[in-house]
Amino acid sequence: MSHRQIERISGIFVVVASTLLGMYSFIYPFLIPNLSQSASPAAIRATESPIMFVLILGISVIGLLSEAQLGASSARMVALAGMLIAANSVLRFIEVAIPGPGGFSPIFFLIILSGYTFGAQFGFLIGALTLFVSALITGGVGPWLPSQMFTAGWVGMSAAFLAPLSKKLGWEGKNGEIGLLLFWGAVWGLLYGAIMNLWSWPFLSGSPDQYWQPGLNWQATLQRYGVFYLATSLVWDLSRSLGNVLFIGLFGKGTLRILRRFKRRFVFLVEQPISVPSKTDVNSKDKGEANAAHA
Amino acid sequence: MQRMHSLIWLVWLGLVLWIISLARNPFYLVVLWIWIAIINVYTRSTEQTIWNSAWTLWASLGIVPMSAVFNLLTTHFGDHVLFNIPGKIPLVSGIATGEALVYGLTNGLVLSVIINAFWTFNRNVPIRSLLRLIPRAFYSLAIISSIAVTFIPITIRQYQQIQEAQAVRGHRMNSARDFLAIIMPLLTSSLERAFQLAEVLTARGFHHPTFPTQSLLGQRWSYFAGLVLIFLGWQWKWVNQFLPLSAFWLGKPLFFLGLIVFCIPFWRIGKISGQSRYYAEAWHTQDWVGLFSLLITAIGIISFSFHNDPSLSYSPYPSLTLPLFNPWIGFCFTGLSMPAFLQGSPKYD
Repeated sequence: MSHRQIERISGIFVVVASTLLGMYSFIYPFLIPNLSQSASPAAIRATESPIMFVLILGISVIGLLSEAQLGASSARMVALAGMLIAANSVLRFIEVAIPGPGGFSPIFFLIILSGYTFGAQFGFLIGALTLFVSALITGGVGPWLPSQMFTAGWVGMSAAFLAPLSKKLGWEGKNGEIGLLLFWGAVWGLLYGAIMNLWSWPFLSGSPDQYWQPGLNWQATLQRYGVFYLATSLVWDLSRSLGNVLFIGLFGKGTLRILRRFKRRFVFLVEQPISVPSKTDVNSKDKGEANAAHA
Repeated sequence: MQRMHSLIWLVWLGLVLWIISLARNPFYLVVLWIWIAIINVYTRSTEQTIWNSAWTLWASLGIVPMSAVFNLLTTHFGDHVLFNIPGKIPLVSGIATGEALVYGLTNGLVLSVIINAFWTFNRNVPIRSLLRLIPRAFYSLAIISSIAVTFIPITIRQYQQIQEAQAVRGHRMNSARDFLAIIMPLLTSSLERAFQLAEVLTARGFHHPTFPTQSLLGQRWSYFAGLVLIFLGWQWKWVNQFLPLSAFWLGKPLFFLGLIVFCIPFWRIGKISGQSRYYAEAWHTQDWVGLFSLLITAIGIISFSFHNDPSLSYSPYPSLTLPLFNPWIGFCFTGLSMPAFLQGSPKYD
């Protein structure tokens, strides 16, 4: 195994470990009573604080960002990322000033398309930093920020996984590609809300058929979350999902064309080493050409 | 008076969040809320009056009754029945208890204090100082964020110019599809600007400190080991069940060891990264005083916490009781106001 491959694998290890830690921080409140086997699970829950959740998720986001920043290692990619984030933050700024219906947000469209075009690391950067920068300009820095950055980063990172699929199916530049992205936008519109709910849901108390209680098994937890989601989030998240579909449907094709054009200008890909012919090669070639011309 | 150093405000925010996680007593939360409200109003900009600077305080206060009423209507546990909601309305019907009301009230107060603390932090720390707090190891991220923040006003101006230019050409915004004529030129011009910016960055000698000239293998394994240790330390109670030895005390040391191992690569990369500061944030005597007052507050709260002061933890369940109040703990919160009083009203941004 070459050194480059080992480097690549170690990078994947960091991404996977950070992601698993982040995902675990979302679900750990559900696991505590079962794992500790305490006679009084409520007491354990009381000592577990949402602050710890924010801290662990923050560490996970830092781990992911340390890898993702390698996606913008050249001056061109840094400038490109900065400009795309600025454009996306303006969209969020407009959304905060003139709120759309429910969870509608125009920012995911550019995050998905950036990840799809420029790859997983770059997609994560655009997703996470859009939320960070727009939180700075709208005064939205809060304990919810790490979970927003983590989830939005994953929206961009996961979109990169569609690119090989689209290539394999021969859909690049065709309607099938837009169909794939529409599907992805719709799924993430719902999934984003479902994940973001988890940062508060286990810490809330309320009706037994909608809220989690310590000691519940997986099926009951999922069932209650399903009821809670249907009652409080579905309509909200559907508008986000439809917003993503609308934006990708209307602007996806044109935006992809522009991003690809700039990708060719921003990213140089040397597929084969350029061999400079030696002096003897040049001389023999010249002689051969001269002989052929003579003949 | 000079503005307090951003690090002082960061420590202040961390301390407030830590106190909230430690003391869920409504009395202490009210005291904390009042102190943050005073800081918020005191550090308002010169153009703002007391009333219009405090709108977030009023807005966040709205959360408290909302949370209390929501919990009262949807949680039907407790001995102190206030009234009965008749019928078969899903979620709502059933007994409304005093315990549910107090629990909802406490939750609302926690949320209100958190929102106010972050708002106060946002008000007192300018964006450029916040970006400067990004560690050197995240050199690229700091530059990307700085570029984005700097170019947001220009992008907004460009958006308006394109809109006006299209209007002059007779373009009408009748449907969502018509935005295409604005979004596409905006995106293209932003990306063209990125080219010019990249040239400027290259001319100024920008390069990533570690990639691709150096191997990242050691740093990556350190991150990985740190993450694993953090997880083990955090969930040690669970992990220890599968071990033959009984070492419950090991959790916290493992967690902190993990944090150190995780942070070592950042420190190393940070040392490699060259950094030039055009606007260095100075550390003044008042910053030492501010830090000292925050430390005194932290030490005070820690000592009460170590002596298991019964007033620190409060829950209305299983039976509703009046929360205890230790005036000395309340007095400790006074230290939180020092950074604001040392700084005075900001006259920037």
